[in-house]
Amino acid sequence: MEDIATPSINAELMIRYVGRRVRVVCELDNAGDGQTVQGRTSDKGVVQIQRDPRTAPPKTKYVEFIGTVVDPQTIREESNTNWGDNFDMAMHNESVHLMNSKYAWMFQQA
Amino acid sequence: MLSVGSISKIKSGDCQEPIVLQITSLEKATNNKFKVTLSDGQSSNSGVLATQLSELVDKGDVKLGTIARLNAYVLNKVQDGYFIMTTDLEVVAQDENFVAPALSAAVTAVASTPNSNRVLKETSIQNTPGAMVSPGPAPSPSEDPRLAKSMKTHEGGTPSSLNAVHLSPTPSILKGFSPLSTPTGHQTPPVTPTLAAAGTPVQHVTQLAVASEKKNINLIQQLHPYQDSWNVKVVISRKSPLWTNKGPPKFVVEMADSQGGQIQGTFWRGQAERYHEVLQEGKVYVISKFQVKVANKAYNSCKNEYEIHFNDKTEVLEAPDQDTSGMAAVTFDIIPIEQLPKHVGRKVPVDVMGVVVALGPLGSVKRKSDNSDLQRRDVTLVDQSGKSVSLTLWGDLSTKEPAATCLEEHASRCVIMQVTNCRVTDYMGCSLSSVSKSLLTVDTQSAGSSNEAAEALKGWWKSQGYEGSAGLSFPSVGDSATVGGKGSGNNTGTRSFGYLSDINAAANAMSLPDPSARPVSTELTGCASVLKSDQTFYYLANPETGKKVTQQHDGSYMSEDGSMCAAPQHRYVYSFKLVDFTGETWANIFSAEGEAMLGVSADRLAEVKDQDADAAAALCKAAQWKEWSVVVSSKSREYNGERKMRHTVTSLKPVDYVQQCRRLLDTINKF
Repeated sequence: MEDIATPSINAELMIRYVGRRVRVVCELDNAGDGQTVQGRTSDKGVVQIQRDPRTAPPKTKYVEFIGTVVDPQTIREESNTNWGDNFDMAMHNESVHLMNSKYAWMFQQA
Repeated sequence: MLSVGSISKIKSGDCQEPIVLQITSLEKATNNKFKVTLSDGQSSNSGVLATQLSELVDKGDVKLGTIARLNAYVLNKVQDGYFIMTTDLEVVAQDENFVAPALSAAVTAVASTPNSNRVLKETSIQNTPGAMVSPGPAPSPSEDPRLAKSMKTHEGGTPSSLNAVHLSPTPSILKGFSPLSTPTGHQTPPVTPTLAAAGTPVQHVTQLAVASEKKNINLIQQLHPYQDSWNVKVVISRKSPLWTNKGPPKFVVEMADSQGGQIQGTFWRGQAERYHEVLQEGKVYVISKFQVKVANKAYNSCKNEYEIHFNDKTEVLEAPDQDTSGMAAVTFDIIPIEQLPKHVGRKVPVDVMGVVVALGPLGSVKRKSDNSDLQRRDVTLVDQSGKSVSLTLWGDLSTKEPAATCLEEHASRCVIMQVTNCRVTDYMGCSLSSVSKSLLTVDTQSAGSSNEAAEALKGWWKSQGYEGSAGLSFPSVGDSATVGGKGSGNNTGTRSFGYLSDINAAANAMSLPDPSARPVSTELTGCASVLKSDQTFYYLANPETGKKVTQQHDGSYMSEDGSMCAAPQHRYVYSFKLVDFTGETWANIFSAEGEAMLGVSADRLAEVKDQDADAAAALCKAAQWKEWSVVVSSKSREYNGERKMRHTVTSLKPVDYVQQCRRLLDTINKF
């Protein structure tokens, strides 16, 4: 995307990025369902994704959504990527944690 | 009177006629039989008197010098010669003036046992460039002129020059034997009785002849395998016990010379029995004529690329000057603690010096073999490299001095401990263990370069190391050996995760590991960056055994071991450049892994290559830059004296992202 960093987050970090563009990996129970999709994040929280009808509907179990945080529970989707059906959420969560705490400086842009 | 020439005659098989021989040596053997040397005036041979004749000896009818007619006798062949077994003899005459060839009274009778390794040395060395060597079993004589002469010239037994007669089969050695024949007789000194037969009935000598000064002494440093007429003057630093369990007896000595060179030498069989009692630790000997061979590191942990094998030709003489002050066998090679992981698993023992920071309690362990107790104690040492290591002292080293003093004092002051010859193990990553050879010194009691090292260590400790008991933190070198970037070993145990930069560092290190060291397996994630299509990719193999086969005239294929096969298979063996984000190296790859990398079987590649070179090239190109989880086994090989690291792919699998991710996260967390 452009030159703005899009940090990878989970449910508990949503509050920090309200109004910012972020990316979240969600585990979907029912894919491609209408306007709002509910997904479980890597820290076992729940977020609502307001889908953009122009993008292709998510197909696999794990999907990464890139969008703007509307409020601590909702993201307005800009795009999505299918990440397959095999994904270790716990490990991802560790990475997310690292990327937003100790090593956050690596992922921010001036 | 003597049947001259009869001995040669009977050797050729003619044992019919009675012959008259003289008994030139007489020795009582086991089971009441007597062993003799019989001479016909021209030659001699060993013999045995049958038991029924023993009483003649006991009575005094048959003795040294007796001339007897052997009426019944047979010639028995033994491993190295013959001996004459006689069952019926009659005394013809006595030679009252007979003097046994060996002069000095202390010399044991020269028993002509067929198997005896007789070493009768002539100690005046000037005569012969390499003095005398004892032949192995030498019943077949050409000592005649000597014997005959000796009988004539040495009536009355003047000790003169001759200490012993060398009975040897070859004329060339005879000529070394000058004292008898040369007018100048003898030269210098000495003296003492010589070594007698070893091998069987124990006649160990308690004293060795002393060497004369004028030998040309070589230094241990000069030794090489392409010559065998060496003379070295060495102190025996250690002597192993005589090993007789698994086969012929042998023992090993460690020697040091005046320049501090060290080398290990082995005595075998007869030599072993003969010299084991004689040689003493701490004494200096002049040893000549032995074989120098490349050291077998499996059995030799001495710091020398060569080792000595003593043989029948070897001469051992006591050195006249027993001054061992210049002969410190130890040249310390102190290794910084942080470099110890490199030595893990190798058989070569190391020397370490460090400040004692912790001393464990004295414990004991029960030996599994015989339930006996073994004392042990752990010591933690640190040095300038900033790392600590745990050293385990076993047995006496743990209980006796100097470890005992350390215990009291290490808390109060800086105690420096130095251990030589200890083994690096991979217990807890990396630790030290004492072996029987280990020498423990505390507070630099040893001389030499280690003193400076000790001073440096003390200086470092006072300025940087010591921070009161609380502030000390020295990471254990064991930690860094197992953890820290290398991840945990996989199922196979010895494998650890690494990067090409590590592999290359090991490969480019100043001293490559010994070719005998175990190969090091490293798992890493990498790609093939270069895969040349114009190399030999495969060889023809027997599909069952995998061994290389060559085509025979009739179209069939045969491997080296003779097994045939009709339809050989192509098997991969090629090299490629392996690369990861830290570095790159050339590696070899075989069979299954090769197929995984290229994506086609070797047979198929062979076909394609024959038909269309471009297609083959394309296949190779396609195989490049694919990421794999590779296990590389690195081992050093020696070619023409040069050591090179060879890397072989032992496993090639698609990357398991989950596993790699886990590893990465762990690494990050530990950072």
